[in-house]
Amino acid sequence: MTCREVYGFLDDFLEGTLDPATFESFEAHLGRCSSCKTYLTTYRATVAAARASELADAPSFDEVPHDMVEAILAARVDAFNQQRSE
Amino acid sequence: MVAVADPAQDAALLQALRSGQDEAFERLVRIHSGRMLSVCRRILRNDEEAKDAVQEAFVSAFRGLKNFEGTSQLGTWLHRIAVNASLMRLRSRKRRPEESIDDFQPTFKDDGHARIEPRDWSPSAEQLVQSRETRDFVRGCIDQLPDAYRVVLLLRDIEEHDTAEAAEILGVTDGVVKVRLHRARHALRRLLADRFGERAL
Repeated sequence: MTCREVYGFLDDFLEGTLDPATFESFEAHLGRCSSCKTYLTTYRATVAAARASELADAPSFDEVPHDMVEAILAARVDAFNQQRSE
Repeated sequence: MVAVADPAQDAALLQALRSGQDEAFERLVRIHSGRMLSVCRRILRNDEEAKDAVQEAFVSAFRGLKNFEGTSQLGTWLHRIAVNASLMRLRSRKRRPEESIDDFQPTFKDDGHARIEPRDWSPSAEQLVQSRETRDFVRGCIDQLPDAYRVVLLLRDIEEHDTAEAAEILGVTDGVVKVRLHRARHALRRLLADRFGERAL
């Protein structure tokens, strides 16, 4: 397996969906290619950094803006009335 | 994928909703709107638009309640409607010119060897991401991805939809989701690597 092929299989590897034969070649390549091994580590770190960054600063689910809730409830009354008149 | 799920609670709430109880609808909104707002914000990156999308989602949910089969959880169903409402808004936006991410894809020599010699910056990334400044930077990098790629990355890696779910939400094939996720992750890796100290050869 070449580096190019390894790069192509990264997602399936992380997902655990490689078939056994491919998995074996993939692992064998990583065992002898430190460059691909490092690439995999940083590829994984990329997903982790994305998750940490998107999730850490998201407002708590409990802090629902009051004005939004009011607007939704009002919109629902409108939709209900509209539905009845249809 | 969606937290707080109690089938018995869902069933009771659903019945109350179908019999048109105002209070049930309000409870539905209070339980689920926070999570819906968070995914809408993530896709739209704009607070006001995200609130509007949540409102639109609840109106569609209200209209579609009679078609809700109860095979999925209420939370999952609402989450999906919120994602769709955000995507509709995204599509109707005036397109900003998007940079191609071709240049951020890995390249190979003729013999299939990678052209870069990556350095392992994962420990520093793990540490740096503790700071808000770095997290802002990472989100900024995600925002550099064209919408088609950014949305797939968000659905798959952040919202934790599987390939088939993401494909269904976006109305594309599984293969398209896979290719976009792959390219999005490579591009993001490259953008982060520049910051975390890797030099391309």
